[in-house]
Order: sequence, then structure tokens, then C-alpha cells
Amino acid sequence: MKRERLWNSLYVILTIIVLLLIMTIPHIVMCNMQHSINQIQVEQTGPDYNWIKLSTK
Amino acid sequence: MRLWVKISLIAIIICTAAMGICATVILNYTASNEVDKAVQAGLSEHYLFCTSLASSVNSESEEGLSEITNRSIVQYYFKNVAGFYENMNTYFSMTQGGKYLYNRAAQAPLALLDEPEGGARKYAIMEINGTKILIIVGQQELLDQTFNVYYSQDITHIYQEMQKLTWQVTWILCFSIVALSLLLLLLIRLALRPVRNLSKASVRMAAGVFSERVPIVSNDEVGLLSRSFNQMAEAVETHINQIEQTSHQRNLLLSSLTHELKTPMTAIIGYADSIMHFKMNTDQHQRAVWHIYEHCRRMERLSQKLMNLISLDAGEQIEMIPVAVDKLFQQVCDAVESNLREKKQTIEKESSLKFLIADNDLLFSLLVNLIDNASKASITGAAIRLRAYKTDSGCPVLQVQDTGIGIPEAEIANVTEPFYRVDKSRSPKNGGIGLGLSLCKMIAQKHDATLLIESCEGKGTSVKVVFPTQAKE
Repeated sequence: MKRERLWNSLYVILTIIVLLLIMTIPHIVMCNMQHSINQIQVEQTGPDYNWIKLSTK
Repeated sequence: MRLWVKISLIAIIICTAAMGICATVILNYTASNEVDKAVQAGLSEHYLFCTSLASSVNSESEEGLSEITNRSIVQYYFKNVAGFYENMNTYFSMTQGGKYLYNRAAQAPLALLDEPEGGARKYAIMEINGTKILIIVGQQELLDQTFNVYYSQDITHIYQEMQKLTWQVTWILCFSIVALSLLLLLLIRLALRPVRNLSKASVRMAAGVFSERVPIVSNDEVGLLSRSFNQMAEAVETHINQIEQTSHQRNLLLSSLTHELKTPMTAIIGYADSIMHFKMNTDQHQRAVWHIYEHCRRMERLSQKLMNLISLDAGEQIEMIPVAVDKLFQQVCDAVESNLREKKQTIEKESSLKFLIADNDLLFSLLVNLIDNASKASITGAAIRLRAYKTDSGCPVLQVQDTGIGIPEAEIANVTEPFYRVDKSRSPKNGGIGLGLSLCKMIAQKHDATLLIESCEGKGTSVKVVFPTQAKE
């Protein structure tokens, strides 16, 4: 009976946790978006600058 | 906690977790995709701007102009092209050697992103006072001079839209989960209704309602369980009924036996008391002793038949051997001859069977009892018919038929009950104790045979013992 009560409590707690976790989805997504802010990146494959250089002559 | 609640909670946990994970992954992918698209669009616009600027500057360039004049020409065309983009909330700035040659952006791009050192373009999303700005910088050679072209665009709306979309998805998810939870609770409760019915039925059965059955509504495991439960309930009910019936019969037998013993005992005690306390002449004394003797004989017959009944009822094994029917009939006739002779009755034997697989002694007892009953029911000089034959379906039959007083139709079903007498006042006088037909019925049952009694009041009775089909006679 003690073990059953423990399991019952676990079911209820897990349900509440999972429902609360749903409400954290926007925060997770926004945190992920914020992660790329202030990160300076260098373009690996850019446009053909030689063409621009040639066109300036 | 009820089982349906537990299952519902587990289902809700799994569904919610799965839906939450899927929503998070999709939203993250969408958000990254939106930002990447904005960056790629910015890089394309930066490239197009540089191309169109170079094209415009080159078309107006002249040989031999000073460095300052060339820079002014570049500034002039830069301003013209950049002004076109400013209407679209996109700002281009130009620097050279850490100084602005043109800048209309609200935020100083040089402070956010350093001038590039090589040919590759640099870009970043910077946050200033809650505003997200995409900044791209690349070097551009124009009229033999190197300029840094900055691209600035406010992309806060992408983040705001993503945030709005995320909250919308979250609320939709919450409402969906609530609706799903209610649906799950309802469906699981409905699905487990047979289990609840089983539980209630078990409780009622435990309270003694053995006729309780559960409806079988499906062919799944619960349906199989319900079917098994009904089978078990059927078996228990049958068993309990048998026990109750046996108990009732035993009580009846005991009370009847007590009654049957009381009558001769009272007579014996009465006659013995008369012999002890009264002076009797020889004739009276002889009569009293004769009565005591007759009642003792009756008690002896009673105990003998009861012993037979008890031994058969106790499941004593019987010896099934081929019994010669003619020989058996002769033995029976010899046994009842003296009794029949007193009433000048005769037996007409007729047999088309040679052998019968049965217990010889039990068959003998059965026929003697049936003939004894037929003799008691028949008048003086009557003939009793004893037959053995096969039915059309091949079942052997033994039949005892008389032309006596018969049995009322309503009484036929009861005559095989122990101590049951059709005429309560007649049997003791004839020496009957009401156990003969009970014994016959039990003997027939031991042979898997059926005892059929057909009778017509005033015309006679026919008792048939129909045996199951036998391999050989």
C-alpha cells in the first residue's frame, strides 16, 4: 500500500511537471534564438568579389 | 487511485511530453530558419548594393582625378544608392580608416562591428536596448581606394513574431492537452467499464448472489476475462446448487428415515410392553410376537436398502461385464416366485437380447424391485410382463409392465424420491418402504441408463430402463 501511494504521488507529480514544462516552451525557443545574438560570424562562401574588382577597372 | 485514473495520467504524461518535445523542436527549427533567412537576405542586399554602387561609380569615373575627388564621387553615389534603401528601413554606412564617410543609421555600426581585415564579409546580430540589429560589413574597392560598406537592418520584428508564434503554439498546445486529457479520461473510463462490472459482480458473488453474470461486450482480453468469469460463475452456481440439493435430499432422507424408523419402533415397543405388563393367552401372545417379528423384518429391509443406496451414492465402482439376459431373467423369476405365488401372479418373459454389458447384481436388484412394485400394484392373478429388447436406435431396454392400479400423472415425477409413496396409507400395509424406485433410479444412473416411467391410472404402469448404445450385446 505504501509503494502504491508512492506511485500514485509520482503519477500526479509527473503530470503537473509535464504540464508546467509546456509553459516553458516559449522561453526555451527564445533562449535558443538569443544564443546567436552578439556572435560575430565570418562569411565562409561569399559573393565573387573578383567580379566587382574587375568591374571597377 | 482508480485504475482508469492511473492509465489516464500515464497517457496524459506521455502525450504531453511528446507534443511538447515536437512543438519545441519545430519552433526552434522555425526560429533558426527565420533568422538565417534574414541574414541571407541581408548578405544578398549588401552584395547587390556593392555591385550597383561599383557600376554607378565606374560609369562616371575619369582618369587623373585626385584621391579626394574620387572619394567625393564615391560618397556622392553612395548617398544616392543608400537613400533608396533607407526608405525600406535598411541603412548603409561607409567608413574608411575608422572614420565615417557616410552614416544615417541610428546606431553607430563601427561601434558594433569592427572594420574587416580581409576580403571575407563579417556579420552579427547585435542587441541594443532591446532592438535586434543585423549588421554586415564588407570591403569594396572603388576608384583605387578601399572602402568598408556597412549594412544595418532592424530585425526585432522577426524575434517578436517568433515570440508571438511560440506563445500562440503554447496556448494551442495547452488547450489541446486539456481537451485530449478529458477525452482520454472519458475513453479510458469507458474502456475499463467491463473491468468495473467484473469487480462489482465479484463483490455480489462473494455476498452469495451466484446467479450474477457480466455482459460480454468485446473479444479482447477483458472480453475473455468476462467470459472466463461467467464460466467460473456458472460452475460455482452449479456446484453450489448441487451441494444445496444434496444437502436438502440428505435432510429429507434423514427426516424420512427417522419417521420410517419411528413407526415400527413404536409398534415393537407397544407389543413388547403388552407382553411384559399384561397377561395374554397363547393366541394373543403369538400375535404380539408375530407383529414384533414383522416390524423387525421391515426394519431389516429398510436398513438393507439404505445400505445399498448409500454404497451406490458413495460412488462405489460397479463391475461392467456381459450379462446373459435369459439367465438373469430366470434368476429374477426364481427370487420373486414365492412372493408372486401368494397372489397367484405370473411373469411373462420376452427377450430379444442375448447379452447386456452391466453389473449383474445391480441389474438383479433393479428387476426384483421393479417386479416387487408391479406385484404390489397388481391384483391377484395378474400377469407381469418382463421384456428385454433393442430400440430402433440400437439402445438396449429392460421393461417391467403391469396392469395394476397405475400412478397419477402428477405423481410420476416424484415416485423416485426416497420414501415417497403415492398412497401413504397403502405402502406400509404392503411392506413397502418407498425406497425401491430410488434404488432403481440410482442403479440406472450408475449404468448411464435412463429410467422411464409411463403410467395410466387404473390401467397399469410400464417402467423402462433404457441403456446407452453398446458395442456388443
